[in-house]
Amino acid sequence: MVNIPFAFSQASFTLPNENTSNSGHITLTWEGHGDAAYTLQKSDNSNFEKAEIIYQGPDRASFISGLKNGDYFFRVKTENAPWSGPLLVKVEHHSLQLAFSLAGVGLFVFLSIVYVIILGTRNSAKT
Amino acid sequence: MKKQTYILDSDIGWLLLAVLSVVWVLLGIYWSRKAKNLDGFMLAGRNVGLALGAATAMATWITSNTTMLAPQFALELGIWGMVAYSTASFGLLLFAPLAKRIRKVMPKGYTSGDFIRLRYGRKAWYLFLAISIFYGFTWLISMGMAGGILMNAIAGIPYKIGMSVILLVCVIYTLFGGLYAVIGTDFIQSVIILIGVVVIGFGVLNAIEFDTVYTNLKNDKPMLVNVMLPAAIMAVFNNLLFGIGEIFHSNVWWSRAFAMRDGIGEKAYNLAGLFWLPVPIAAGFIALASGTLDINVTSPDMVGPLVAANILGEIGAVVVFGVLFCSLASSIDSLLAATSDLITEDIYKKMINPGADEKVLRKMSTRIIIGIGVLAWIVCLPRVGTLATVLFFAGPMVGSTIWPIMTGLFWKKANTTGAIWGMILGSVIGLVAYVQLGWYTASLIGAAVSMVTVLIFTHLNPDDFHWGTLNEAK
Repeated sequence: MVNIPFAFSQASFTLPNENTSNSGHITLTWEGHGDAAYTLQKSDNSNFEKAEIIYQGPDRASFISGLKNGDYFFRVKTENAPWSGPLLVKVEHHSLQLAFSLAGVGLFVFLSIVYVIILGTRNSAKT
Repeated sequence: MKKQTYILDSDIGWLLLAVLSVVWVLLGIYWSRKAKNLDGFMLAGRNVGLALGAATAMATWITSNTTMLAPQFALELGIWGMVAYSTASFGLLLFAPLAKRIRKVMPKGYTSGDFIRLRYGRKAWYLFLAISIFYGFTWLISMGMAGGILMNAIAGIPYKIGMSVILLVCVIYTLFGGLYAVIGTDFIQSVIILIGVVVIGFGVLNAIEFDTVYTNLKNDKPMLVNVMLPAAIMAVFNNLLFGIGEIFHSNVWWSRAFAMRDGIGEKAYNLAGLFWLPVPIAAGFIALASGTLDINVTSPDMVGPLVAANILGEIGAVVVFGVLFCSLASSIDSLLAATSDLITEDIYKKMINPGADEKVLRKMSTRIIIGIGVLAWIVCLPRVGTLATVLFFAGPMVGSTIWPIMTGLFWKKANTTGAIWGMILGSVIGLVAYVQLGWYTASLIGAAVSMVTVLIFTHLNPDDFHWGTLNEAK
């Protein structure tokens, strides 16, 4: 059995390998050891070409938001250790048709509430 | 565990916690001298004026949810998220005319449960009590959890200790002074909160430029500045209706309507709504600045405190600690008092011991406050979910109460069947939406279904209610 030195322990995500989001945000969490410094990368491909470092430091989580529709790949590592396996986040926002339909319903309910209160207040003032 | 570095020295955190705890308990003891009879304890003698009335409404509505969840909304849903959270002020503004109406038709009322029982009968009352107590308890748990999370994140105070201390302090001062203590401390807390928000707001504006924040968001989090973000579009009216449902049905707001002097309620709620409106916008903006400041956010409900402390340093962290302690305490105390009133008046007095005198009721009220505090503490011990997921689970239920409450106050034709089925169908279908579509649709759908149900039953079988029935004192 080979003991991996503490500083070389590999970090790994505590989420499934594939995740979906219909609101464009997700909290990434990972496991590691002690006060190690982590590097978190994001890319639009699983080969991490043109990858972007989005966090470096001791935290073991990072909240990501404001993502457009698409596939996003993340990986994390500690110093001198190999990268974790890639984590995929598939972002598919709700349809705008659904959003505007529900917002329309909400607006109608709200205006109806205002109407009932204004009318009710006026009528109760008369009696 | 999501490890995050602390933003305040642990010793200063413990010192602040001790000082704030002692101050609120002493204030509770001071105000206990006024709470001599049951009306004094439960309703502050029905004599609360405009300044205290507006301050207590505003401070209670500025919960840790405003200071933690509003930034979370902005960070998850962008510009619309900020707007969505600020729409909760409509709950206060629309409750203003209701408060006037409530005082008029129920001059000697005690709780929102009293209204439902007298207006719609016992079956609707049982259902309403289940919804209202569930909601109150959910809110209380989210506050207790928030206390633990905050003190841990800010100063490294262990979650269980922070959560236990804030619950214990609020239970003690509410026990001593009842609604007098709740309203009195709310006034001081609202002043501290407003000063804190202004200090943090100026600090943020001084440190970063709008243009820089916008450019950073456009590059790194493009959907947050996109007005066509579907989840955010849905969240605007969902949050608006959730806020209206929360305020319309909850005894926290009804007890204040009963406690304010005649003619004060409407003005106080209007003022509170106007003062409250900009707070979530300010809180939301500082969350959007987190990317520009290169702050890693491990949990979205912590983004507000993190940014404030990052910009203002140790002083900022102290201000954040004070503001958040006050916003938590001002809501926990209100919930303890209002839920205890609801259980004492609606369950103990009306169902178990109708002959109970004031002394017995006061003793029972004390036991219930302790009981609620202990129960909340037990549920809060395991830290589960984010604040949003805990609180918004109650969303469809409170959304379903809007139409039964509102039409019950203004329409003679509103009837029991409509109220009961409005609450049942609104809650059930809203919960389905919560699971199928997301939390940002549940209150909206719950309120819409309840509205259609109430309107159909009112049209099919109109009642002819006599308003005098609501005044039990006659």
